[in-house]
Amino acid sequence: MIRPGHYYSLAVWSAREIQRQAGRNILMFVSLFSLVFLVATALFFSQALDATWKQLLEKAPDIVIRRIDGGGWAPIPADEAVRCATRVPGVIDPTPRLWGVATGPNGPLTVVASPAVVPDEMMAPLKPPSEGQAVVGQALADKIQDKVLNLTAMNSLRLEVTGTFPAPTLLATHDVVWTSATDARYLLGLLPHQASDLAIHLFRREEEQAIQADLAAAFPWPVSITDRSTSALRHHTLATRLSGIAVVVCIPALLALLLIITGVVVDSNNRRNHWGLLLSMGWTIRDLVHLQVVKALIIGIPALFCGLASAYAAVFYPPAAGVTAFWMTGGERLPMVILNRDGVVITMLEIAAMIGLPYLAAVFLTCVRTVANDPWDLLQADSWN
Amino acid sequence: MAIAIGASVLIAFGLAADLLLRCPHQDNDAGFWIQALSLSSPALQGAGTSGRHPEMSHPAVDLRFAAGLEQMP
Repeated sequence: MIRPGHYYSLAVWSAREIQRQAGRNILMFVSLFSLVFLVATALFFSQALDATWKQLLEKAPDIVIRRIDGGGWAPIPADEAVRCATRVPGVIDPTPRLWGVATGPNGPLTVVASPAVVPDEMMAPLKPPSEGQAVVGQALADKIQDKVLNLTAMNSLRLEVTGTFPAPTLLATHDVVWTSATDARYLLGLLPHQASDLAIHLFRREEEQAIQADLAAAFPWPVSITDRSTSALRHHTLATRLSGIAVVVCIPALLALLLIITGVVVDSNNRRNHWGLLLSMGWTIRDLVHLQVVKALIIGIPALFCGLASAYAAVFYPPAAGVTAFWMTGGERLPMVILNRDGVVITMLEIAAMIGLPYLAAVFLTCVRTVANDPWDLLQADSWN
Repeated sequence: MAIAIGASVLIAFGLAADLLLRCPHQDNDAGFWIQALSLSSPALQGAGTSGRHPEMSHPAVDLRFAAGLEQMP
């Protein structure tokens, strides 16, 4: 007889009961694992995508000013643009940018020429490209033969690849080609005094919207102004749409949870006579309820942890992260996403509550409801009767 | 039973350790290069798309004729 409170004995007995119905319990484990994995992958990904964009966009310029004319985008005279922008109160650090999209060996690439001074510790594995040289992102590194990169935009250019951006910078430099200013100008068809556009930082970020009218009036040509909040909102909208997909994934998952709970109820009914026998031998209702709960925990907790760990690995560890992103976004190329600790922990707790609690509640309530009957009635539920 | 408990504890410790070790400063390098190269957005979408280069989106400009791009992706 099992003494009340003797949980070790209960756990051993539960493990024996699980082994007695190994096939059914393995199926229960697999069902719970799959359910947790699918729901967690969708929720982790949408949450991580939002966090990634939010954190990285913090580093982007507050405002970008591009010149437009009747033919579309036009190059901006760098020095004049800086002078015009500096006249507007609240503008700090106006930076003419040299960048553009060029056709590379496998499609479009972002070509940039950085005017910024990069500290030595960040440059450790790299050397700033001089004329005729390029530093490329990881996406290009494997596809380039003989360290030669051919680019085509307004003009064609042949560059020697002298370095590759390190893997931790993947989120910024995946398909970026960093060249010298002279090469970038030649490739993009810009004159020496011209830049692609002007990036601006603001003294107060809250002024992003308010300052745009002043900036537009400060330039002698028509300009298009893009602020960081608008980009952030666009990305947030996409992440929210993915959250919606995650909710759609959860609907069949909830149906699956309902089927698992139904399975638990049916199993309880099938074991009425066994529980009646144990009650007749001196087990208490409390012992039996504890036995069933411990049994459910032995199956449920590993299934929950394995499902969460698998989803975590699929979302946050490249290259699995790339495959998951491709699947979740319907073909977008997302090399990796940032791991946000608070968001992940909260999502894990949500999933544990959403799936674990109904499962345990079903086990507990059906067991209590069944074993509260008279032992003789339970024994009569035997198929022989 | 020992396998179930052992595996659960191992996975829980693994997840906790990974969260503690990987989370801090995870985006520092990428963020630095976004700042250094004055990029408008991270490389989460393909080059040449308005999602990647939000400054290229403008209702008055036909994106089919993006300056500098020989052929559209």
